[in-house]
Amino acid sequence: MKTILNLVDEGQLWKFHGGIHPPSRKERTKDSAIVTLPIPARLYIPVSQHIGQPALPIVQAGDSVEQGQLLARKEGFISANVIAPASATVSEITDYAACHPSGIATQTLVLDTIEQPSIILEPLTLDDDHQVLIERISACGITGLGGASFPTAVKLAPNKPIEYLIINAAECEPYITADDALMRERANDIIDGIKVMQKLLLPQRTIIAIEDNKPQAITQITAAADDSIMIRAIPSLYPAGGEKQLIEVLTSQQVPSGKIPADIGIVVQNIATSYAAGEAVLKGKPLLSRIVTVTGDLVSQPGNYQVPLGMSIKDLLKQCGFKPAKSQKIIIGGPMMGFALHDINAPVVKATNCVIAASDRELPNPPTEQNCIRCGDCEQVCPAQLLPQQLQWFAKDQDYDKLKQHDLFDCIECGACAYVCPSSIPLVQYYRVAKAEIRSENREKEQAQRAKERFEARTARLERDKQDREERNRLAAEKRKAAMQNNGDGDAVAAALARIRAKKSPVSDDAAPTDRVAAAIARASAKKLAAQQQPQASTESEAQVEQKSRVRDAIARAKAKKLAGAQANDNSPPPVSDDDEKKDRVAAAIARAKAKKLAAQQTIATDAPSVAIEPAAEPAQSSSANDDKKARIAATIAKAKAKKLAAQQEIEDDAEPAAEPAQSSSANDDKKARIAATIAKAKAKKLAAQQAIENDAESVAIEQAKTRITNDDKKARSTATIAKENKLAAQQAPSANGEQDHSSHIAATVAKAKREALKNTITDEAASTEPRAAEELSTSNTDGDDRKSRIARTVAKAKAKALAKKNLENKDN
Amino acid sequence: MYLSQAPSPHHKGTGNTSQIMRNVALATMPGVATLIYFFGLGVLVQIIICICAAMLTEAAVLYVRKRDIANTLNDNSALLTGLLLGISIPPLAPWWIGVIGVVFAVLIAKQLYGGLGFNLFNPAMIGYVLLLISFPVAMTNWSVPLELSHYTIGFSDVISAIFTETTTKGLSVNDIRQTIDGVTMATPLDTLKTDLTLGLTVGESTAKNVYGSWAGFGWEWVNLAFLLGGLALLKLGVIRWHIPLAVLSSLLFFSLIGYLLDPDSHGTPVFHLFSGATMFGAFFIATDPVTAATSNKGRIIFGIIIGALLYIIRNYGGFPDAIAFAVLLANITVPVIDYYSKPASYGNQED
Repeated sequence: MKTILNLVDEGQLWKFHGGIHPPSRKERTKDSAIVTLPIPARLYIPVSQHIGQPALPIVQAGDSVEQGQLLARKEGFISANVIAPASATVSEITDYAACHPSGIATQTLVLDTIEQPSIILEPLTLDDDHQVLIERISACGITGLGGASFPTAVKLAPNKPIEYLIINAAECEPYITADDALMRERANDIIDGIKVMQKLLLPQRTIIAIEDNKPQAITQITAAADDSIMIRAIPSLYPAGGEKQLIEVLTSQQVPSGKIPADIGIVVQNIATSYAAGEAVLKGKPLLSRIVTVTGDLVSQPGNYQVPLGMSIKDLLKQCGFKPAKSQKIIIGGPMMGFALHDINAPVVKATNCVIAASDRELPNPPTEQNCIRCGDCEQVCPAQLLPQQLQWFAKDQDYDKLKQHDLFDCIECGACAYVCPSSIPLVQYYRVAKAEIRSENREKEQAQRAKERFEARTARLERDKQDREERNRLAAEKRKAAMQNNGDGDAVAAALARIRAKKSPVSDDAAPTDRVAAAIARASAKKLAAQQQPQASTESEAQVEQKSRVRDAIARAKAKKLAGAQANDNSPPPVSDDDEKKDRVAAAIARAKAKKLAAQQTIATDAPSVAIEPAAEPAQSSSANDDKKARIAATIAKAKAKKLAAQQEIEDDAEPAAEPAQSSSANDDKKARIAATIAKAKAKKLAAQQAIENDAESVAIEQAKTRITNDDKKARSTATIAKENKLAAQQAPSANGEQDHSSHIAATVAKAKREALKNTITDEAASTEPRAAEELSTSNTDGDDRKSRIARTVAKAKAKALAKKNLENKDN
Repeated sequence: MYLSQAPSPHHKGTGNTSQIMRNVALATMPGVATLIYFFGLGVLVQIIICICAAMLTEAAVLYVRKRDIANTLNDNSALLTGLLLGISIPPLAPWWIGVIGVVFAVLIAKQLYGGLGFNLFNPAMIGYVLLLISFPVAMTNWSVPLELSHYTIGFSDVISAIFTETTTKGLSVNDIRQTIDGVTMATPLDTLKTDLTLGLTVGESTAKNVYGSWAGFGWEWVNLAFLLGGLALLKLGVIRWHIPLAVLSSLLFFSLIGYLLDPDSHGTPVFHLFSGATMFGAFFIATDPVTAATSNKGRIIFGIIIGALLYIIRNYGGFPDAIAFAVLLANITVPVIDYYSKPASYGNQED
């Protein structure tokens, strides 16, 4: 039973599935000798000319570099060095047109060349250390020159036993003759390079595969090769030069999907790469130039040229006698897998093995895509034994699962399927797009997964921190308790706690803890206040003290409630001893009233304009143009309300408790209610006015609204009453601050509030009678003065208002 | 200087859908010529009617769908559908038979599915089956071979029969279906089927003059001509050998079994292979790439199914000839065949 190795030794060749025979079109350049081109004035060196991470520039603009000097150092495991192809000064490092189908600009070093001999590194020999050889190959920036540009140093250090070293000299694509020319002219150097690779990989067999359409090259190589190297002439079939297909042809083995050839003990290198490796190791010459076939019917001197890397395609074509037509394609690479160039200024890079400048006659644009007729010809020619027809259906459908099931990523994008398609469907393009879509979808999924992990870790950490904190607090509390008990000061606290517990004993344990807290706080504060107020009894009357304490209780209660979060069911004060009971009940009642008032105030706030001017509301609301302004008024008043609510927590305004008894007293005069309401309204308006100062439109709107409203009779009447009040208040105004009398105090504040309220409303009225006063008022209104000047102002306004009212009344009458 | 952009590959092979369709149409010419020779110019008239109707229908549908009419008509698929249907219907059938069949085939069986490449069923066969089921009398009135015919039917007769359903002498199509001996004529397959139900043996039935040297009279030459056209297509690489070979081998196999088991009630294999639309179906109908399986393995399975169904329906079904039904039934199985006959790709072969 012969092994594969035996069969290989005998020269047996196998076939790969499919394949096509495009016309080779190599006649133009097949026999051309290599012509070395002079170094141009400008070179463009992209930092990424290889698979893997781009290299990092180590020179800056303005530096002088020598030919062969390192320009950019490789980064990461899979990367390659970038070397200056000529002595030059670095002109700039910028984004420049890339030699890439995308046409996107990439970071490029622009060199202005000068005449200088190149750096030659110390020539090594085959006896040198393995690592030294690899380092030399890496230092010289050698990458695969067959078109894929994989860093050679990485490929030559697979750390696996290698059975076959295959040198790929197939060059199966039409038009390209670069390797052919190299083999014809420099066969000995090529063999030396192969020997270097043999030293590095120590393969069991070395095979050079050449397509049988290159008889001269076969002869030359055979003559130069020694016994350790086998030469195989393989049938010309596209794409026999594909790595996987070549392995199948020479060894009958297939590289498993997802793996690299090194995993089955095979390394494939392009013949030009082995030549470059030989030059680098044995002659110390870095990779500075490569052989490029320039062909196409638009160049008058087609041939195989040794081109310095970084030469722009424009310069190269000019050297070859390029005559542009009206419309043409410049293809980098072969016609099957090469790409059409976007920008003719792009440079020659390590992967550029061919430039085809073809008119539309030679390489016409494909006809319009027609429907797939499911003829299956694509399946017949696919070298990867895929089902291109199904892939095309799924790619158009964006059915990624089916695409993966049908092994989309095993497609080598050779173009054989699109070549034979009778409906001219650009199959490979669909696959490229589908692959890109799948890759980006995978990337997004990965990112989402990572984000999710990070979020979960963060949540866990926060949870942990919280638990740690609670644990610490608990421990600290225990320590404190223990300390207290030890010190003996805990007696007072303990006694208090016991008292509270005793008071609360009838209460079930289900009572809301906030109630108990609130009650306790209220009681404590009440006690404190009672103790404080004992010495002050002489100066104030009993009633006042009583009232003040009630007030303070209520405030404390309210505070406690707000602390606990206002609950609805705080109406049941716990049953306790008589004195405290009564106090608590009162306090509770006050609190309730306060809550009610708050609620009422909130509803007042939302109904904004209608409350203060309730009698006049209906006709006012009927005017449709008011709505907008009313809405704005409502908004500002609501804002004011909110602010007021916030302010209420801190400010112990006497007006509030004054309002409470006013509300809770049985005698709820209509007028009094309105007064109370208008107090609130006015306060709100005051705040609103303060806030609306920034917004002129709003204040104007308010004013306008108010003026429209003031045109009504009812409003007039209410304003009359208000004016009366104002008059009263005006008389009493100077004594407002030190006022001791209760009712007058109320009236004073009411009047004050009303004054503020009417400040805006009577602007026009005042204006009609006292324009200057009104102007003063309106201008001073927008300034935000302090209270005193406002009071003085409103006094004057009230006087004017009274006057106006007298006039109105006279009119009415 | 304008650099035109296109995705790779920039090299294009010579395969071309309209060329493929055109070559298929040209390869039917030997068969069509033989049909005309034996059955008169009615064949040609039917073909012309069907092709015109097909192109017009497709153009109308494309206009409504707002597609490129010229580019799509250029792919010759409508022309081919019309041609194939025109060959299939009786030469003296009324003109509206062809039109209805073709309109249904192009509009519903092809365009409503999405156009060329999207249809599940062979459009020509869908049209044929529709006609067969809806107008059985008109579809089974196959005319007599000219040689055997009682009446002489000139070109004017043909035209008037097709467009007015009576000959110039006022006879209906059914009337002129008489052989020289005054026997109403049917196709050989039809005759055999009827005779078998009447109790005659195959040998007795084939003694009639409706049967030619080795298969049906006239039909044997027609099938031979279609075979030659099919072989030409194979040579040109327009079709692949898998389907025709599978169909014919499968039919041969089953008819051999039947004949060996009971020669008195089963026609000979040769008879089956060269009667009716066997060769026409194997090379021109079943090989329609859109509705056939895609992989080679799948195509062989597809062909075997067609051959088997053909034999079964001919012998045990209600219709004398069954190529249309066999192909349509096999079309139904194509998605399943495709799914299970997917070949392993490079690097994924477990062995």
